[in-house]
Amino acid sequence: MMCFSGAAVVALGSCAQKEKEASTETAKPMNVIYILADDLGYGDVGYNGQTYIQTPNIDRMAQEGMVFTQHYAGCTVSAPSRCSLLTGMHTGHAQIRGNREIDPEGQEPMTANTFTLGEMFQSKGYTTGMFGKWGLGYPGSVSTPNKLGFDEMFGYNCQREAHNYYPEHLWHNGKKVEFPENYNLGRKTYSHDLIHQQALQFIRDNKDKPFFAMLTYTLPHAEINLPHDSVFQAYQAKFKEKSMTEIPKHFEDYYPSDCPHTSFAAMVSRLDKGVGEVLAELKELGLDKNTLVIFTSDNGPHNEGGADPEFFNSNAQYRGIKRDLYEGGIREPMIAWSPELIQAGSTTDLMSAFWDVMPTLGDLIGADYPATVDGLSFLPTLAGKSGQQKHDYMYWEFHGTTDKQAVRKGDWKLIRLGMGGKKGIWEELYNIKEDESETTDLFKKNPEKVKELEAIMDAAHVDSPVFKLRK
Amino acid sequence: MKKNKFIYFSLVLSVFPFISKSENKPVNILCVTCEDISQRLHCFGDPVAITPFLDKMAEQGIRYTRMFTSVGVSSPSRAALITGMYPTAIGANYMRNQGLQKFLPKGITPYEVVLPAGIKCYTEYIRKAGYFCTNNSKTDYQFSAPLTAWDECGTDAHWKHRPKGMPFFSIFNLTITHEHQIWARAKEPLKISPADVILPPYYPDDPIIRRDMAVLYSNIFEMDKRFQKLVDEVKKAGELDNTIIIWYSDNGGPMPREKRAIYESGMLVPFMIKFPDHNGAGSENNRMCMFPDIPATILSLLNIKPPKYMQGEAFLGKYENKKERKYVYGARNRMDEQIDKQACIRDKKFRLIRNYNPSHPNYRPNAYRLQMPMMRRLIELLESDSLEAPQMKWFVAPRPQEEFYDVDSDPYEMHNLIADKSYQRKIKELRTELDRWIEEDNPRWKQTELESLNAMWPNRQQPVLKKPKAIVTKQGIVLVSPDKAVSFAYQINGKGMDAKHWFLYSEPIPLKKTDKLTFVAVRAGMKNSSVVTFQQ
Repeated sequence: MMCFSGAAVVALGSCAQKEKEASTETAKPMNVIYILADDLGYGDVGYNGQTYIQTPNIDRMAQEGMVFTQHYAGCTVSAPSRCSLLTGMHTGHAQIRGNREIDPEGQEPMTANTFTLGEMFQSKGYTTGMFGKWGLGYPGSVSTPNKLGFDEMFGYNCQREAHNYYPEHLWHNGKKVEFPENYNLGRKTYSHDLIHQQALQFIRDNKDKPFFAMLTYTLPHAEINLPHDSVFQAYQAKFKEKSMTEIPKHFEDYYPSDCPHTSFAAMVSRLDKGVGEVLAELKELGLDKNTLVIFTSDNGPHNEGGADPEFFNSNAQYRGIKRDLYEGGIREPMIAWSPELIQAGSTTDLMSAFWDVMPTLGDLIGADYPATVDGLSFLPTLAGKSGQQKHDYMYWEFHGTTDKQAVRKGDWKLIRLGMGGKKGIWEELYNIKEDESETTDLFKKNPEKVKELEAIMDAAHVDSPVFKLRK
Repeated sequence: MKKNKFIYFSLVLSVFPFISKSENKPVNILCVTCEDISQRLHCFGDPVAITPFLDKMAEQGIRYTRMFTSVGVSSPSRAALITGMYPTAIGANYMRNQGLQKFLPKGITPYEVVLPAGIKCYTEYIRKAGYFCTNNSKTDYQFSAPLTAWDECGTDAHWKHRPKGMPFFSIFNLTITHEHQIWARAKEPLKISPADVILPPYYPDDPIIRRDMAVLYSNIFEMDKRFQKLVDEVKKAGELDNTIIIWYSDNGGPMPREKRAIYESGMLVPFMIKFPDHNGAGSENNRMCMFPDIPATILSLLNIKPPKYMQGEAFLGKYENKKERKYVYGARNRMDEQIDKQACIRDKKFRLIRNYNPSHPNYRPNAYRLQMPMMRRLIELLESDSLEAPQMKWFVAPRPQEEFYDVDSDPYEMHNLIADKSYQRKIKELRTELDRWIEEDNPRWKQTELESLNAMWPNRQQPVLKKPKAIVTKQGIVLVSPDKAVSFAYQINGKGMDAKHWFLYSEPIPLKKTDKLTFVAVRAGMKNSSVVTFQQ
């Protein structure tokens, strides 16, 4: 075997070909960051028409990524929406179908053998982290983040605790982290800021390894309060609200909001700033080339603790808010961003939902996931490729003060309301394509369509031992 | 003395990849290892040795005259042999870490090496390729043999138990030439007369020494017979013309200054391979090879691509590295309760040794080895001032910081040429390469054993693997674990091929609704996860 190097004949040994594997090995695995805002409405973000609140970073992310216009949450409140996201099932199959409180801290747990998004990433050797709110199993139960797929978790175990942005404790990997400065309404340390810093640190610590980070930030869920920094002051001047003069001593679910419009706007801006910092961190570490970032919200906008969805038009053109199965309660702002994978500035109206995320990310990283997931991967849409499977229908059920169910098939949507309530059970039918604001109930006009959708509703629901649909 | 009838030409070109007689039938490999002997076979040029059966293998196969382990002792050698890695690179160079506390120094408690993430026993890849893999029976890997490494591992492990038609990879380890057999078999009838023994120059001519050497040669004669028995079994089963035979010793020795040494006397071992078609019959190959190369080569012979992480390189087969090794490397650390640190590098002609503790002699009193009569005799002679200068070198302190030998002209490494001006260029070259090998391939060489231990077993506790899960996919049952770099073993309805056997998980498991699946996560050095039961 002869080799030539320039003019000279190089000795056999030094240029003999190594039979070992060439450097054209598999590309670097994609990191994934999933940012889940809490109670952020479809209309609360600038690119969807919000006029009062500035969200320049989220807007830029939308310009640089793909905007989903028909992406649905798992449910209309926190815990079931997150269960759907983590397990790839709609709430007709998912374990958690409502916010069920456990005293003194935490919510209804999932079972020990639940297979989660986190575990799917771990099975491919990813380091996984969750920063923010869990809400899917009380501390010490079999269903805590570290036991169900997350190498690191920092934040709130309990959704109720998360109502307080100046908590007395948070959790880090199953251990309590105390904040004595926040005891007795000390209200010194703002939880979101710590959680956000921990998330950024996780990204830095894992820059050389494949990672999956879920940023389950609690903004802008109530309480509607935050430090009165320059952003707060700018909004305060705009809305002309005056700060509280007395410190409240007694209150119900939420600490009273100081300047509710100001605070809400500033909280959304604070969320936006955090999103910007995450993307900037990726660019600085050179990870923007191999990271997929998804931004969305867990359910519709709320009206708790001083929040005013009417004023901000938080549900945009849609009807309803959190706890409704109208579009306003379940249609979410959603952006998928990846300079490597996704065409900048693209939009899709693919009917998709939280339960599609497990197959999508699974296919992205080449991981296995159960055949029993309800989701369909929207990776072809992200990548601009053909072969996108489409849902025949989408289904939700919600167990709350009353129980509700909804089915959307094509343009049609049937909602069943009032289960377990005093007014009896009734159904409403809408054509979302022609009446996206759900103003005109077509229940009486389309009995055939109602029957068709009722059949789907009944088939999609599988009884849960823990959440029983009332009649 | 028999006239040597072997062909002494060096094979520069590689042997052609083996093609089985029955074209599509995968070839078996029978691998017979013995313990502790240097190239003390008749076919390797030792006139004293009587080894008719291994000589016959050499007539039909290829002798590798430059096969080296990185240190002449069991555990580190076997760690390399099961992983394809330098023992120093994986924290496995301390002899031994799984030992009894009485053989460990104060401050070190028994532990297992946790292989770095992704590194597995190479036999898992062979099992994955559809082979029945057995080990009979010594492991001594510096970690407990993982459940996933072998179909059968133990004194009953045998290729006979394979399902019909399944090809096999079987290792049999012959212990009769082990160091301790010098004193354990001292009363057995001798096959060689002590008078006929030719002593290396580092031993004085003494009857006790001659006798121990005669016991060694008698043990080698016995080992040769036992080797043939294992080959005859394969022949009887009609598999001989479809089986590659490999034979080698796990380190040099077994005598003092041989076993445990990084001199030629400890590192150089005999290695032979015989192909079913006798390709290369009677030839000698002087290519430089090391123990990490053996797993890579075995995989390569079975058409399995050696994994990227392997530091060893195949010297035969489909994935042979055509570029030969230029150097082999040695490294020596703790030997039972005695601590030392040495590194060496050898090219085709020279060896350079670096002594990190030059104030101590090379010889250390080792309680285990002091059971050997000639070891005690050497001490006696030393203390009575009866050793000649060459024989005293091993006992003398301070040692030079470096030793340099022309192994070709001085095979027993008696003349340290480190100060010789004419070799300075070569010495510089070897120093530089040794430094590079340490920096690039063995960053853990700089750790102490305590640091290495604590990194693998934090708080001296064996890490325990978390419970794995089964998920139902369209392709079948997929096993996943929150822990990285694990393998899975499983049984269906309480059995693998039988009640004791566990399958190696490598692809989704087809499971009937009535079947019960039990599975466990496994990783070298870590405690198995609890066994999980699953039913659809």
